Amino acid sequence: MRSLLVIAVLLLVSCAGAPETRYYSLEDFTSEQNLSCAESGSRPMQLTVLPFNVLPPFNTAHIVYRPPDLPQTIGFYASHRWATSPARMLAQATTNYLCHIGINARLSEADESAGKSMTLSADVSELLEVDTPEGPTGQVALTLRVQDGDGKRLFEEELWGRAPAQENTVDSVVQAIHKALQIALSRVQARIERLAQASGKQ
Amino acid sequence: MAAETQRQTIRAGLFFLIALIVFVGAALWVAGSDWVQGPSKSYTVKIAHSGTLAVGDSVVIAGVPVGDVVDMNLHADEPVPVTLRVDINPAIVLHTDSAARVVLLDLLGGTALEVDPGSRQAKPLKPGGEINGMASTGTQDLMTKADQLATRTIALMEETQRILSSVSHQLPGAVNTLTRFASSAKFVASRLEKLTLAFERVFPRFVERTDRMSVQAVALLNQAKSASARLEALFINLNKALGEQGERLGSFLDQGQVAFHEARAAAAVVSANRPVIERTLERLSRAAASLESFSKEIKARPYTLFRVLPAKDRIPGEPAGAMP
Repeated sequence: MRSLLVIAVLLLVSCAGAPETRYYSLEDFTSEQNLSCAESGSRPMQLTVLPFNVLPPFNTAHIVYRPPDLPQTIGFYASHRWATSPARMLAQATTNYLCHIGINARLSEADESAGKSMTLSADVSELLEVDTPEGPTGQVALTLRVQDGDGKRLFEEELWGRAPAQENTVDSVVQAIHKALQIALSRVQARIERLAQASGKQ
Repeated sequence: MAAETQRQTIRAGLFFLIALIVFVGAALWVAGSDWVQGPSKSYTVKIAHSGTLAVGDSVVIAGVPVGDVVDMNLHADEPVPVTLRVDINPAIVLHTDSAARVVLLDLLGGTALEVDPGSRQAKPLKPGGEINGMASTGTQDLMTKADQLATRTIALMEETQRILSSVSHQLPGAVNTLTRFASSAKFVASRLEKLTLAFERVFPRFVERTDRMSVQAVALLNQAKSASARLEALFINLNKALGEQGERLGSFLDQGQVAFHEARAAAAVVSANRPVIERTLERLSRAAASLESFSKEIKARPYTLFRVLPAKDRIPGEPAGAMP
């Protein structure tokens, strides 16, 4: 009986000392922007977004940060994690962005072929919180490419975006990362729109 | 007295009678009376075609009338259908080979029967004999020639008419061409006038430029002289550098030969150490490849060089502090 009591006390102590794990997603900020594609089920598909290829060390569930005093060093939050894999999360956020600007896009399943529609894919080389003397920021860098239905590459562009966090919280940092992704994607918005229009006329 | 008067009357009557006889005789001679010239000789002429010959027309020899055509008969069933009877002066001697033919006296249609009296070797033709009739080739020829002449004249006139017609057709075009030519000539003259004016404007500048070019040419010649002098000085310096009989050049060549021997020795050393050098180059090549691969990796994934802190929670923006 005494031993059971000791074990229970130890468990309570250990549970009270362990920090609570929190999960984040970029979709938390895009739920209202996906309405356009959600209502266009009858329209022909213009763009299929393939899951992104996230390069190490960012292909992890831990949110990565770079402290302000050690610029050649990165760290991982222990209890702040992405809710889904960064590859799928970024592809979904990109799909939501395209739907928001009026392009009928959808996220491809892992084992699904894109068919005859154009495909969008990317290699993500940066996805982290970068702390500057002015405060924390969200930073995204990716190489984005668009191919036609026959697999012919239409264009490839290196994109980069950074946005400041409004507060010194992880929530605000994730929102800044989402904003940085939108800044990066806005650099090729016009080209993607022209390609989608040309594809719609054919 | 009465007898004297009677004799005188007889003499006057005789004189008058003789004068009358002479006058009558002369008149008959002029008229060609048979009484004066004796009776004409009659001959027969058979001829194939008499043309416009008629009874009463003259019979001529060499153009001189010697008789008349006194009768003309037609025997249509005979090969030579026309038979003429002519009376010819008896002083004219015809021969058996004499011939007759119808000739045209003038262009008004007057005709005569021309007689060829024949050759002296032939026998004289007796009165009543037949003179050989010949075709009136002269008239026919004349008509034929006239016809040919008329034909040629007509052809000539037709040709002339065609030429005139062609000329009249081509004349407007030629006039237009001449008009255009005149217009072109006027245009060319205008251009030439402008060209002349332009030349008059440009010519002074041309002369001025020519003068400038002449000055430049003179300056160039002067520079060429200067260059020639410098070249000569260069040759002198080169000769000095080479020394007399090229001894300095020989020294230079000797030094070059020594350097060549040294290079040859160095090449021998390199050749002797070739395996070592090749191994070294191969290692360097591998190192360069590794360096290139590393560079690509760093470029693609720069964060592989970053130091990684141990996972822990922090407030965003908080310094990491001293590394553990």
